[in-house]
Amino acid sequence: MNWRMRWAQHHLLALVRDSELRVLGLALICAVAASSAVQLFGDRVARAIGAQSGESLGADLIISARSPIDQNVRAALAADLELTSTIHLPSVIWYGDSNHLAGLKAVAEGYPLKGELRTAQAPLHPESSATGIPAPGTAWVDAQLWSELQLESQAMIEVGALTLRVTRLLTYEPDRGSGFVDLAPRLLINMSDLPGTGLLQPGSRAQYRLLASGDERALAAAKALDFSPDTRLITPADARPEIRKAVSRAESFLALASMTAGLLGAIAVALCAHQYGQRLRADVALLRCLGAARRDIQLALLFSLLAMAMVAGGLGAAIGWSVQFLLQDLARLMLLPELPRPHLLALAQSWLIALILLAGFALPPLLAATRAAPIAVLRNDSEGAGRRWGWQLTAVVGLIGLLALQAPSLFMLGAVIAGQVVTAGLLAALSLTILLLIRPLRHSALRGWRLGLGNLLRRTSLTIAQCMALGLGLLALLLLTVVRHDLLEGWQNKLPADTPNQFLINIQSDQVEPLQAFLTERGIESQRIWPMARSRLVAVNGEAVDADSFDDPETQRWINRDFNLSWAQQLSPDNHITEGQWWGSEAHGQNLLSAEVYVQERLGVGLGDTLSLDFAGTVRTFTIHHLREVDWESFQPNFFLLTPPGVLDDVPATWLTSFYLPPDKRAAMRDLNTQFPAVTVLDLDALMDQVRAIMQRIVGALEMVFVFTVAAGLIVLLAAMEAGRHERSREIALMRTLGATRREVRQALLSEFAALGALSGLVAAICAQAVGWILADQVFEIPYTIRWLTIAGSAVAGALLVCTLAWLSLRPVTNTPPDRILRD
Amino acid sequence: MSLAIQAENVEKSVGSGSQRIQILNATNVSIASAEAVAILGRSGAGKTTLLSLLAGLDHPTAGRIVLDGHDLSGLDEEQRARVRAGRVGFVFQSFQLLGGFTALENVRLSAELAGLDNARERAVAALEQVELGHRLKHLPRQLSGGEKQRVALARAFVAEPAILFADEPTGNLDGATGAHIVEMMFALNAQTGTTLVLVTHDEALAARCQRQLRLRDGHIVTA
Repeated sequence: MNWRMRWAQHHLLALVRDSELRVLGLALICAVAASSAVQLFGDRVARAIGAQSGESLGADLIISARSPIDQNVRAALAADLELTSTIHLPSVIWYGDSNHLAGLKAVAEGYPLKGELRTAQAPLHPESSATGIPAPGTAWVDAQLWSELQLESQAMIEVGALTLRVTRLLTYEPDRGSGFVDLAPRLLINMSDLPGTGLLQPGSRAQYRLLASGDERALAAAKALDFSPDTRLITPADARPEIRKAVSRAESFLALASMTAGLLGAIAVALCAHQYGQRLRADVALLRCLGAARRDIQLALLFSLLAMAMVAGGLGAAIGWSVQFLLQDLARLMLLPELPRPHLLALAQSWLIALILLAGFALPPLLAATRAAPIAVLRNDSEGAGRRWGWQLTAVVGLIGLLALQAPSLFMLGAVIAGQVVTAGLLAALSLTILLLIRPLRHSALRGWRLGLGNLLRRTSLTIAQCMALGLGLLALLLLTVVRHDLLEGWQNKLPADTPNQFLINIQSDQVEPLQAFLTERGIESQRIWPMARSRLVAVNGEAVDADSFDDPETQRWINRDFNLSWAQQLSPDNHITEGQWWGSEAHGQNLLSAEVYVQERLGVGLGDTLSLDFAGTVRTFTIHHLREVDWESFQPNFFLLTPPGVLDDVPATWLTSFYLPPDKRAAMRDLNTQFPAVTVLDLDALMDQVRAIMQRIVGALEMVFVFTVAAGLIVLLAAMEAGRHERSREIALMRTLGATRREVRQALLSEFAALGALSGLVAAICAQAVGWILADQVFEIPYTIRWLTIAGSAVAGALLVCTLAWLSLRPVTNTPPDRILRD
Repeated sequence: MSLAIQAENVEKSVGSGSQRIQILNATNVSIASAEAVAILGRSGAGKTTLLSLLAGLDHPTAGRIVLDGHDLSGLDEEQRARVRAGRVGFVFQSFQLLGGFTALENVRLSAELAGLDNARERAVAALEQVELGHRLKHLPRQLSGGEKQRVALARAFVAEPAILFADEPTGNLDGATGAHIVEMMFALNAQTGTTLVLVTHDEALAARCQRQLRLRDGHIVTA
């Protein structure tokens, strides 16, 4: 091994031996672990979705509608395509005294046309491919419903007016979506049993689906058929947008955590490498003095950095590899039953991150050190350490490259960079301000404090740099602990305890009075009862419109759906008028509309514009009277469009209501289901519990990645402590030599770091509260109270944390005889 | 008699304009091969500056220096480094050993930079010559001041340089240890026929050299 290799090996071993490179190595490992866990997981999910596209529909084409598919269409398709059908609707399922809302799916023979159903005898039993569909009189339920109802094999469950025997546990269905009905636990029954349940009534929220499979020509011909306006064609290209959305959202969260870990890693690497570079200058000057070529020195350094990237990157990737297996729970939430094996190529990207971190943040200060002049061996100076903008540029490019590798979108990339720049600027400005404010304190009577504060004020640049690094580290810790807790608590408190948890829909007009009497008898206080009529938008300001009239996909989808209208004389408290005025009694019977601002945004309409709506063949034209905004999170029934009373009396309508059902009155729902089988009960308790459970599991998965972010924050703190450690060691030795007692030295150190920690903690807490307030206002839309106690507590916690780290870092120095340090 | 070092009208100044400080003024020095020369003077007289210029560690503001037959004035820093490698040895007041390298690796480094074969064997032999055969694998921090300076001596002589520059080699050592180092240095000098250029405050040490150059305010006052 020649000297270059030995020198490179020495730097590599310094990852373990040297405090600065040790922190640098930890920062690398942490950033790579976070990134590789996210990259590997994202890659596996993407491939799982890709692999599923063929069977994700259970067919090559689905024709979906809110009303039964036209028999003529069915007959036309049957000639060249294989067909089967399904009907989906929500329903409450009873087992003994327990009940649960489920997504009922009735399937006909031949289902599924693509892919397969998989079932098991009971939970924890081996699964196998199903050879058919549930036999008449039997039902298959998924694990969630099995668990919620505490079923046993062969249990008898009640579905509307029908009793069915549970014969299998449904473990996989190829076309499961994630709409409200699909997110609910699944109940699969034979199509021939559906009429017996009594659930299929006019106006029930059933979704009729005709599944088709065949060659491309026949499929193309099928797509060209003339379908009714409420029909939607679903192809594998549209398959599982809900999964893509869920993946994208989870990936955004994960990417944010990973990017933050990467950024913090970059700061830690830069801080450590800068310090190490300063010390490296002496070695370089000596090597140059002895005749070593600069190129050889640089090659040796590059080699050692490459080796560091391999070692730290490898360790980080191994940790990330292990952690992403734990993230599989998140995949199951996205209804991806099995993920393909991790792809080794995705690990290469993790190594790339280690390389970028080193090339962008460690290489510049280390290469700058190789410019040390040989004369430095005689002068012990740092001449030639001048700044070169090329290195700063490399670091900026490295940073952007690092973030771009992890950012799911350009918007997020920009937001993170802008956020970090603003935060760093704010930290620097606040640190400088506070430093100026504490300047008078350096004349304190206590000698230790005088020395400590004097140190902070003398090295203003280093102090501000340390405050920024410590502040960013503490900010990450505060955001991930205190502020997140405050935000989630604020969100949960937004819903009062008596928020309606039961919605009754599909109430026929002749059932309104009996239903109200039923509720009153049982002491259940019903909220307002709302009429609801269905229509389709056919013209805006007299001009005919359909989905093709709009470019925006969201509007196109919205236009294709039924518009639910209601009528009201009073404005609900969770609505407020944004333009115009609420109508009075004189509006009774007039064709006026109260439109939610979403309608204005989607259709570009305003006051005085007209909308023509088709009510089962009868077209009525309405003038927009005013615009209002709805608080959709109030859990109260609300409508995009309202008319005054007396306008739609001749239009077929159903009714809906909501109420709060205390836990001790849940048995009443069983009687309600028996007496009013066609009324659909939406048990929001179950839904909210389900949503909370999903949220908790997502948060749990995210927290695994956030652990790395917290670790990266702590590593930045360590790196900031290491900054100036050698200079401080010499100062301590000099103070001791000049007669300062060990106690005085410790007092000076503690006062310096307590002030530094308190300063950083204070600045980080102010920034964290600001970020919390912005998130509360812009994202969660909840009130947020600035927590002054948190700010004060963070300053104290920062002081304690930084003092502890400083104590651990510098304790060996205070205990070492000063002559030894000065001699070294 | 061939010349190991020749400096003609060498000047060195730092800064510019009114801040300009003249460190060396039109200095002429000729040192013969195998000669031992001491450079003396008070602090700030320009001793270390002259040594750094003669060794090619720094470049003069004006004048010409020829080191071991190479005119340094026409060479850039890389070329000067190549001239130093193997032909020039150094001993410093503050030892200047690589902290992460063992005693053997520090000495072997110099042999390798000189492009010598059997660098390891030569380094072991050099360390044995300075009585450190038992300390081969020790790191500098595990050695005493005297031992460190002996490692530096071994490093300086391992490549059998034509010229050895020593900057206050006993400055950091107690009297007895310093004397031991000086004995070793002169013994090696005599043994290898190396030219020795020594910067010192110590008149007794300077007296052991064949010639003394005294500097005062950037001028050689006694040659």
